Amino acid sequence: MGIGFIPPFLMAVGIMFLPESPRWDYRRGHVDAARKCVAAAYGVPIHHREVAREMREIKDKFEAESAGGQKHHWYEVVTGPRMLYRTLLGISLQVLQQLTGANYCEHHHLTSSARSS
Amino acid sequence: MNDFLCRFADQPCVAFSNSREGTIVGLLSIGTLFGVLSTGPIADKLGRRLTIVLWCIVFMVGVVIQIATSRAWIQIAIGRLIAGFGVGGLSVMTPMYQSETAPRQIRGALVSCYQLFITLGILGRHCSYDPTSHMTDCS
Repeated sequence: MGIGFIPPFLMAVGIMFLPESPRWDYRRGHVDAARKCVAAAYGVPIHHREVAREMREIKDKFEAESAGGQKHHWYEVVTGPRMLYRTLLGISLQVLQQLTGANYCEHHHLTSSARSS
Repeated sequence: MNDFLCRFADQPCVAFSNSREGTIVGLLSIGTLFGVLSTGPIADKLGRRLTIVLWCIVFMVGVVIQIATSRAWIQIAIGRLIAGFGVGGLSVMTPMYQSETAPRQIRGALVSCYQLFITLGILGRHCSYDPTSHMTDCS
């Protein structure tokens, strides 16, 4: 069971060598850090047009999200315009995926072959 | 696996009852539920990177709880609950960080890799299951 230490340890140490997500940086007002991270991720200099395009996209998304005011309550996943339909669609996709029974087949195969061996 | 049955099953060395087996297995999913729901606000507050580190530590705490017991099945179940918080949080944070950071040309491939590696983990589990199921010691 101690094997369970290896992946989270690698991940926790490894993530400290990676930059913070540019979208979160942008939200927090660290625009320069975000631009630097985007440039590093694309492997291009900081004034490259691809960086400018990505920054524009981040800005547009952020402004679209803030358009309805900063404060959104969690229950708006149900009450927001067209949100009930979207939420139900997401839930049913996930539910139907589980109902195909793939997990069950896999588990059953595992236990039955273990018993017979 | 026999050693595990002798230590934790309610009919020692024979079998788990359905309720005990279900509790041990299911508490991980319940932990996942709370991990997933709580991770959004935490990620907005702490940043994606620190949140990933936080959930990794939570998962490791869960593993410590599980391996620190020799007889108590409840400890295994609670350890899985705590580990479930970490699993749930990371299963949101990892694709979120990937999709927010990756360049758009490889964004889809990278997020798919997340699912691919989950599947590789399941493969690894299946591969390790058969050779270890005959072992009788406590490893």
